[in-house]
Parts: sequence; C-alpha cells; structure tokens
Amino acid sequence: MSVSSSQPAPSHREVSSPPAHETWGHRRLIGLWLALLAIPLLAVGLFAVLQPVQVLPRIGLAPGFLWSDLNGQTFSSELLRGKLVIYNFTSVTCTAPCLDGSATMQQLQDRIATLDTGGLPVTLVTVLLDGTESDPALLRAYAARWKADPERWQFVTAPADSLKQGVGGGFGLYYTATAAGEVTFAPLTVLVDGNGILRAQYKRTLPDLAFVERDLGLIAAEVRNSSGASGLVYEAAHLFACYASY
Amino acid sequence: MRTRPIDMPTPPSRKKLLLGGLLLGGLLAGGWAAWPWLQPAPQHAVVLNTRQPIAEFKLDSTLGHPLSLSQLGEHYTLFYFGYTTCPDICPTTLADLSQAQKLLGEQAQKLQMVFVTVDPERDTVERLRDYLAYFGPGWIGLAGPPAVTANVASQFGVVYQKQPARGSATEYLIDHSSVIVLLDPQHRPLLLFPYGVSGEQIADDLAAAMR
Repeated sequence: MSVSSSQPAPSHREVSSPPAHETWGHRRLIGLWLALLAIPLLAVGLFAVLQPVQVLPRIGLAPGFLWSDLNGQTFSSELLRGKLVIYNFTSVTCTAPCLDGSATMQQLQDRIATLDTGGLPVTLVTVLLDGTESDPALLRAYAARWKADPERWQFVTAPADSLKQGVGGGFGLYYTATAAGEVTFAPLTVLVDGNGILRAQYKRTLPDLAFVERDLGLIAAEVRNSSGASGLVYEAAHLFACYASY
Repeated sequence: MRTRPIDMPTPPSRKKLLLGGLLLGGLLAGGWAAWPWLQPAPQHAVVLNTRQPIAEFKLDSTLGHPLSLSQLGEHYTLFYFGYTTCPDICPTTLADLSQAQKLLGEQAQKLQMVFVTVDPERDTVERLRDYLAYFGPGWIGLAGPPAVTANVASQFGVVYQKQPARGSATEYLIDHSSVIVLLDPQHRPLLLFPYGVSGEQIADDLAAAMR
C-alpha cells in the first residue's frame, strides 16, 4: 500500500548545534568510560593469554591409606598432612626392562636437601607393590640398596587388597602380580600437596628431575602467596588453567 | 546563533551494532570470569576445588533404602565420617555442623549433610537413624560392608583403625580422620574443614561456597 502526502517530509531541519568543545567533551567522556571498561577486560584477557602466574592443577583428592613401613609400623596418609609428598611405586622384582623409579627417588633425596620449598617439608614415599605377603627380608634388602634417609624417604607396603584399593583405586595405577610374586606395572610418580590434593602425575616413564623440582617450587610459591590479593591472583590462575606444561 | 543542517537520525550502522555487541559480550565474559574473584574466599576451610569427582558408590541409608552418590542429587553435600559410639570428636563435630546448617537459613536447602559410619559392624542403619536424630532432621546416615566403607572413606582421604579399649563398655574405639569434606553438585571435592572449626565458621564458608 502506498501512502501519499501533500506535504513532503523535510529531509533536513534546522537545529541549533552544540558548541564544538561540548561535543568533543562528550566524546572524551564516552571514550574515558569505554577505556575504564576495557582495562579490566584487557587485564583478564592478558592474564589468560600471557599466564604470568603458573600453577599445578588440583587433580583430585589423594587416597587415604593405612599401610606400614618395612619395620611393621603403621604408616598413614594422615601423617603426611602438611607435607609435600612424592610417591613412586615399584617392586623388588623390577629389573630391566622394568623401569624402577627408586634411582630417581634417590637423586631427589639428595636434591631436596638443598631445594627451597619455603620451609615446607618434603617426604618421599616408595610404595612396594609386592605387599606384606612377600618376604619382609627381601623388601628390607631392596630398601637398603638405596641408602634411604628415613627422615626423608620411607618405603611402605600393605596387604594385597589394601594396596590394590589405594594404589589402583586411589592413585590410578594398574598393576598385576603373578603367583610367583612378579609384579608388572607402568612407572608412575605422583606429587601430593600438604592438603592431600594430587597435583602432578608423571606417567609412563621416569620423571625428569627438573620438572619435579619446578613443580615443588610452584606449590611452594602458591602456598607462600595463598592469602590476600596474591591469593586471588593464584585462584585466577586456576580459573584460567594457567598450568605448567611438560 | 550559528545553525547548520543535520541529517535525520538514522539507524545505527552494522559496524556500530557489531562494536556494541562485542563490547557487551566482552563485559559479560569479563563479569563471568571475575565473578569468582568477587566472592569472599573461604576463611577457615582448605580450598580443594579438584577436577576429579568422587567415584560413584552405593551404601545402605537411613532413608530406608540403599543410596548412591548420584542419588544425592544436585545438592552441595557435606560428608563426615565417624561412628555412633565415638566418645567425643564425632558428637562435637555433628553438633557444630547442625549449628552451621541452622545458621545458613534458606541457603541450607542447597545442602545435604551425610554421616558415614566407619564402624559398620556395630552401626546398623537403625542405630544410625536414632543417633543422628539428636543432631536434627537434615542428616542422612550411610553404612556398608567394611570393604566398601574403607573404599569410600579412602576416596575422601579418610583413614580409620580399630583400637582396643580395655575396660570400656564399647570394647573398642576407632581412631579416624576427623575432616569434613564439602562436595559441589558435580560431586567434586570443594572444601575441607579441619577438626576444630566452629559451627559459625563452617556456616560462613559454606555460605560463601554455595552462593
């Protein structure tokens, strides 16, 4: 439908124009507001891209366990609260081509003595997958080979069912044991923080010591900066998955 | 007065619309990203905020039927492990948690509190129901075979062990971890309250976490 009009609509009208300096002032004000809005957005964007703070992911809760050391004394996960703990899993039957992580643990034992963890104690725990059903003398002889300082490095084991629950269900390591006592497993080293949270898993091969040391340092830095404004920055690093890569 | 002809107002150009849309989108994204920072952080609990949820399990419950973790629905869930003949720590902690629940007011509707017995040999579901009634109506009690209970407790980082108690009417006591773990609606561990945190402190942190 067409509409006709005897009075054509004016295409232009005369209005008074604001002074040029007022228009310019308006634009500047809007520009200022936009800039103010853009700053936090830019900051968030830059944080997500540049990742100025790196953290280790909070993977999951480490399992609770009640195992024993090689002297038969109870060794509980409760004893490890407040400590950084590096676990590895092996067997006295582990010979080449089986990858035994105990050599790496021995090197770590020496290096953590000089490592700055901000006063956080570090404990190494080697879980012997052979279980308490194995000959205790064999287990003790294996541990003795590595010259472990009991203040820093513990060897623990448990009955087979308890091990299977804690190691398989808790740490996620599948392993098999033959009737002859031979244990087959894939190498796994795990880092757990003082709150019992699993923070790093070095799978399939022996871990690079430099990565383990870096990861201990990252946790120490996070603990050191866990309060106040810096605590918020570290939470933001978790939010934006600013995770250290390997 | 100086006058000049101007054009009639015209609809904003596509470029301006796009710019406005981008700005609005950026603001929304920034707001979404910044929202967790604006929340007061927990003051008394340890932040767990882990990626892996607790694995599914099923135990007998005081509701009169077996209950699985997934059947707890999309609530925040507070887990505490103890036993009914526990002389001191358990009743104190349960009383603190019940106080926290009352302090939360309407927010408590988002929360389900669960007590898992670490003494399944003595704590039947009926016994659990009688015991938990002392601490208010908001509790669900869970009990299961010893091996299953140990497996569930281990997932929460909880350990326990029988200790003979000579001369005690209860025959034995159980040493157990006394931590309280809050799961988010996806059953991921969110907060851990160590022993000794008061009901008011628990309520404050729960309120912040469930906002």
